[in-house]
Amino acid sequence: MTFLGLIAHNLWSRKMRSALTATAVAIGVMAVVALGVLTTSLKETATQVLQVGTADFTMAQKHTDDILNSSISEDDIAAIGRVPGVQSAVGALLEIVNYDADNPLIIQVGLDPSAQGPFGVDILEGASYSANAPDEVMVGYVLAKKLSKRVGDTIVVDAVACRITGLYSTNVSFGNSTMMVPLSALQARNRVPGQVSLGFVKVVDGANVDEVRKQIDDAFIALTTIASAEEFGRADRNLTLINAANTGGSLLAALIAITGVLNTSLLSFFERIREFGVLRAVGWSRFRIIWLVLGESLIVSVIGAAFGVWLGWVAINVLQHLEQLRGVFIPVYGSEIFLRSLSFAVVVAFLGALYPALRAAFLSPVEALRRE
Amino acid sequence: MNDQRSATSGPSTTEEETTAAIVVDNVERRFGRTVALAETSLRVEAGEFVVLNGPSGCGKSTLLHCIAALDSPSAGTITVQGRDIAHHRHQLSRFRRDEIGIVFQLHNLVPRLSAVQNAQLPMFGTHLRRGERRDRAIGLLDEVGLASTMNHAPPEMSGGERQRVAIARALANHPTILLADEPTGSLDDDSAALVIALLQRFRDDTGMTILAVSHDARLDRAADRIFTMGSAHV
Repeated sequence: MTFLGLIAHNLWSRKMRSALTATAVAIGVMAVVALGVLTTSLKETATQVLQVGTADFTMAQKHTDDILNSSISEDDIAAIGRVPGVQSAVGALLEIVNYDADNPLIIQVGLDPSAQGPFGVDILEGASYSANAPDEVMVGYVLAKKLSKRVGDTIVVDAVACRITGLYSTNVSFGNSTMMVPLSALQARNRVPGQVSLGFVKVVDGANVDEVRKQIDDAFIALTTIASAEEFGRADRNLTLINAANTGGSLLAALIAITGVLNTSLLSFFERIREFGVLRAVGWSRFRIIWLVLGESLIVSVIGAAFGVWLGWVAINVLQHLEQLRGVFIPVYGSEIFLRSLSFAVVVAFLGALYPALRAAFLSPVEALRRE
Repeated sequence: MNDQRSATSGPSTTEEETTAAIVVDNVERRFGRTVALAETSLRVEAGEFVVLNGPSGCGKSTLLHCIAALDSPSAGTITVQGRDIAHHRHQLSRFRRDEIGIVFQLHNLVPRLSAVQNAQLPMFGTHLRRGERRDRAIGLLDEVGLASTMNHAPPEMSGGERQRVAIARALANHPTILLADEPTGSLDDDSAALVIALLQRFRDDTGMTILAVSHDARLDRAADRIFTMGSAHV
């Protein structure tokens, strides 16, 4: 019998206790996985808008609640275009369209036809809309397929019937599920003349991107440059809040799981006091007894974590089909979610079993042996 | 302490020729104002089979616990194999594991583990590998006549069988001293006779020292010497 075998034997011989402990950990891990995947997916969805086109970085208004509510004047975009080192600066107005129950969150991009090239738009079928046409629209080919629309069909957007002039693709998959209208038409419909949501900046070949960004950040204090998803929080407060909610929720889940493990470990300790006394009496060191209790907790927690990951996957699938969340996010199962779950299980196992382990290790053998 | 009978068997006959395995010198154990063990002195020679008896509450088990380093005396010194056990205080686990084997009245086996697994418990932390631990445990169970029931868990065994498993466990690390607390107290005559015969045989075969706390006249008859303790009181 190995030490690990003894640990496994102890767990197996108290199946119900072990199962309850694993369940407590599984529920915690499920919460961590669900919150983590939800957060990552929302972040991924939100930041994809920044990755459309061939820009080196994106411009947005600082500290908006939602990046889609960012507002930049076209004059500023033009001024940014004149900053030394900048090759082009393109403004785009973004709006969320509630098309139907299955497609509640389609992003509509207002873009001047001349900016389609720098924005990475590749017209696959048909032609571009005209610069000022209020009733023309292009549709990303993925969205067109989903809506069963073709070039020449009519699509009603915001109560305006528009003719589809072309189907397009962009350099990121997210862009293929958007629709595109003339910038002036969208500005007029939303009564924001001269305003765009985001600016997409490309620097000249050989220029130092960071230096150009610094110049722009210094010159336009109400705006911020974003070059990666990690910097997204500079402009979008929602993301910061989502991250905070994720952290808070995970901590709460950890607290619940630790309490569960502590509860069952303590009960187990009280049931086994005499056994620990015997182990001390036959020469087991305190260290070995601590390892026995922590080892049992660790193995149960890792098993619980595996179960929790599966529960989290189920939970995400349920969330994805809720009416309120349908179409809002596409689950992203990154490896960091699983590493986080494993770390969570290890921390929960350690913190939940530490006190009972220390109690077991430091109890008086004589007192323990007197217990009935 | 009253020494009722001199050694009648065992490896040595005179004090000059023998080495003390256990020397208890003016040991006292108090719990607050309660004296659990009044000032006691005792000397057990290496290889002796000594029985310690006395009225209930006189501190026999307390003395045994102090010798096994499971408890600490409030006063006095205990020397085991020539070393004051207070010097072992940083390595009491190793001392208990390597020097001492303990048999309890209620056997104190882990009920979830089989006989052979229980017998292996003291060997964790030694240099023995898994196979060696198992082989030694099987050998010990064979010696106590339990080879055929080594995979039985304690609840599936009789009281006598459990006590024999406890003896096998106590001998797992080839201790120099075996301490037994009422080893036959809860056994019927046949089982008690078997346990006593085992203790005698192991003492004769290995030369180990046995100190047993007992009220059992059957055990007294097997002992080289019997010490009788007076009562402890406030």
